[in-house]
Amino acid sequence: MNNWETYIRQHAAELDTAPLPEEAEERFLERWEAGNARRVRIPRVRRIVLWCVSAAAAVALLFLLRPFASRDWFRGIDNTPEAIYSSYLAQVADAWEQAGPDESLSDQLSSLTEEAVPLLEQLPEELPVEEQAQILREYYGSLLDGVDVLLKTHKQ
Amino acid sequence: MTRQEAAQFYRMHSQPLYNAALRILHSRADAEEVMQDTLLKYLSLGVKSASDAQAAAWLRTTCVRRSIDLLRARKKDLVFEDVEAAGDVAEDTDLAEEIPPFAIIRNAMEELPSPYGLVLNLVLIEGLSYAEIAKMTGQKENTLRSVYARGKARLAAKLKNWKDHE
Repeated sequence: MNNWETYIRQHAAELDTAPLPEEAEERFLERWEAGNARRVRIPRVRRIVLWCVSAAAAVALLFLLRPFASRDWFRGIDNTPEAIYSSYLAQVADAWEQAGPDESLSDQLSSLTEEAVPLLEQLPEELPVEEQAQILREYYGSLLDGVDVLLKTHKQ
Repeated sequence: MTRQEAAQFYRMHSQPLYNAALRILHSRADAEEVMQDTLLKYLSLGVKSASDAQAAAWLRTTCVRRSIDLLRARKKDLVFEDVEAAGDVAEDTDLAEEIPPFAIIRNAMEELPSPYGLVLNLVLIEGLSYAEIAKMTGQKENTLRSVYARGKARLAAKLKNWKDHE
């Protein structure tokens, strides 16, 4: 990375200044309300039961898959904790896209991939950066193994 | 979620997403559509445990990918068509010692043809790796490195005499 590439990266936020089209917020809220009206409401108790079942299935899947984990999900990604985490989020976003509107599958994906506090933020700062990156590679790699099988199983 | 919360969520995230989409699509209408689709998709997922930073990262990645998908659909997947035939210099190029003001670089980047401007934008502004861009565009990483180098050379040529055009 040379000087001007670094310079562009440092000023990247200045590119986010184009104003939004007029009344864009109103149009967004109209679509949001239309979507809400179409969505079927699941009773709260049933939703909790569904979430518990999904979470249990996702955790079981994760443990079943551990012996077969082999794919490097972070090939070509910088060996820094931030880069690994960012790539993980991107791959989870991709999985959500593939999942489509299937609510049960989305619940399982959420159970498997969401963290109340990301592991990235829990790692002790005194650990060398390379070691932090390796821990994240292994942890998020296992989660992505689970996501992969979940999607493949769902497609069958 | 109430209408007020949805509006608040929109105000928090819409501007950077709209701009990221606009840089790829060069169409205000398309950029607004992709921005809205991305926000609505996130809200429909009902994610509750994500922090603002996690949500922003998810939204940005999804928005960029959707923008690229739409660009490829609009151009019938010919975004990278002329790359192989391009005969311009591909070696690593640097600008003159004095870096131009950022507004000039921004304008020059916007004038670059589609594959070059797109890849420079994804690498430098969005901070994506070649592996991630390869996944989004369906191109090989080596092709993307070559496009990046060529784009950089084109940008350098455009900015060579930037002081004369001030």
